[in-house]
Amino acid sequence: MKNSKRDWEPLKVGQIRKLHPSREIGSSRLVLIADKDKRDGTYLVFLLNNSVEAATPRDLCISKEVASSNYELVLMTEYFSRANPENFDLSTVFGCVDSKEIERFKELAFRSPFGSLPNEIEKDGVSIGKYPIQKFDSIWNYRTDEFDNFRHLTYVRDINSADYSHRFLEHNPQINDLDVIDDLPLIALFAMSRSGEKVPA
Amino acid sequence: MTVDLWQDMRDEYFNLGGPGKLWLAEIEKLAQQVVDKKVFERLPPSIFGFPNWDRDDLVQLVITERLIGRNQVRYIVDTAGSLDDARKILRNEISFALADRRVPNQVDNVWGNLEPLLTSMGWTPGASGQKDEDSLERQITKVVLSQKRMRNKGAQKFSPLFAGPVLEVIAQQIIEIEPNLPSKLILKGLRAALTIISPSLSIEGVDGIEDSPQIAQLTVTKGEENLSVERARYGTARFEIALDICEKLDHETLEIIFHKGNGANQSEIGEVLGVTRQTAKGRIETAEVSLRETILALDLDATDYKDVLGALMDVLGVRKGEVFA
Repeated sequence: MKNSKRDWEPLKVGQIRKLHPSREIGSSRLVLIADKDKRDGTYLVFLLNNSVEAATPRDLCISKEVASSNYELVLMTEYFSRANPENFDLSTVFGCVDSKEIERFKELAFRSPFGSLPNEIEKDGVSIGKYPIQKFDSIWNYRTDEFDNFRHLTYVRDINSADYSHRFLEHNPQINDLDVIDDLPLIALFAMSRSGEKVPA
Repeated sequence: MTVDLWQDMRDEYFNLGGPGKLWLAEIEKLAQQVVDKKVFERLPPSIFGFPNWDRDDLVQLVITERLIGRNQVRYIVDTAGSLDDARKILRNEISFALADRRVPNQVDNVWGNLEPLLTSMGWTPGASGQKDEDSLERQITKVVLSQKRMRNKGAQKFSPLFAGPVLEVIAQQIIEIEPNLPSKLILKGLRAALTIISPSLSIEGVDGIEDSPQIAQLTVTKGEENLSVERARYGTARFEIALDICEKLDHETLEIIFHKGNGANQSEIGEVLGVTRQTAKGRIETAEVSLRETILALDLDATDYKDVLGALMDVLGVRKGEVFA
């Protein structure tokens, strides 16, 4: 999986990918795909960086072996947001983490949202960051900049928006899954009714 | 131009399988900026294990230990979308390379012992950026300087300088200043005090990450501002003379001058030096003679003499209003 260079590689949970900003501001970053929403085809991602020395107790330092990458990476558990598939660089996979491990990271990190990550999250090749962060030091400023940049790469979804409805319909051309029907946004339903398509009762 | 350069650097990396001449030129440029800043801040190169501030040493360190040793060059190639992005990461790499080599100093040692004491007394680090930070820093410096110290004997170690119970007093007094001072501020005050006590053992921290040239420029500007404020008080020339005097006098003499300036008596200075009052009396006289001879050798007039003496007290951190007899 090490940086396999191909023309096109489908996005999957567990892959380490490069995410581009959706607008002209911001810089691309590596992210770990943590989840895929089958309703609209968007992805939840963790932000990654390379500064192991600057990893705080809310970050996970992941070895090359665990990440199947060319270098150690830092997974910032607090930097978790949604990205659209069109913003990923589809040409290269930079690494891959076992999806069970990602579930474990998510569960343990979100279960204890304050203070250091729980020690049980650590294992061979996965350790908690040790930099003692405090307000307004250089690492704080670095993380703030990273957060600002991450906002340009990701977004907060509004399920009442036309964009969500559009993505929903585009991602589910055949609405025959009962789970999906339950989540069908009203705007999409309205659009379908106007177009004369059969709308599930 | 920069887009082309970044594309050329990427091509070079993929063609050679590693960083080549274009990368070297870029790292040299950034390393020179860092070296210039360190020289401006008067940081001794020995704290990073360098015999002198040489750009090429730093470049070699960054390339071998960070870019190739930890394959960070690949991370830069994978992540950066422009030359500016690459430069930001490279700047961080230079900072980390220096921080890795930094020798623990007496400030680290004292802080390592002081922090648990402060925590046990209920201290929690607060946010920095308050308006009166300079005043708070001076108070912390005074707290540290006002404690009884054991003699350091000029050895390259710090442990005998403060006894354990004294650290407890320091911790208590720091908490009395304010219960949740930022650790950065305490470290700053501590560093200032220890620089006065034993300049060769106290070093500025280096673990900062400069994310942008603007931040680096801001740091330099602030340093220049502080320096200019200090110098304006007595005039740049007199301030420079005071610094020269400090360099000519030995540490013990400077320490005696500092305590005399703070109104310490012979017994107190004797305790600090670890000698009897009688011996301290002799040392004080010798220190006074050294100071007098050094200043007289400059052939100053009466006004300059007073101002240079004032600047010297300022350099040493003696409280204002105290007069050195």
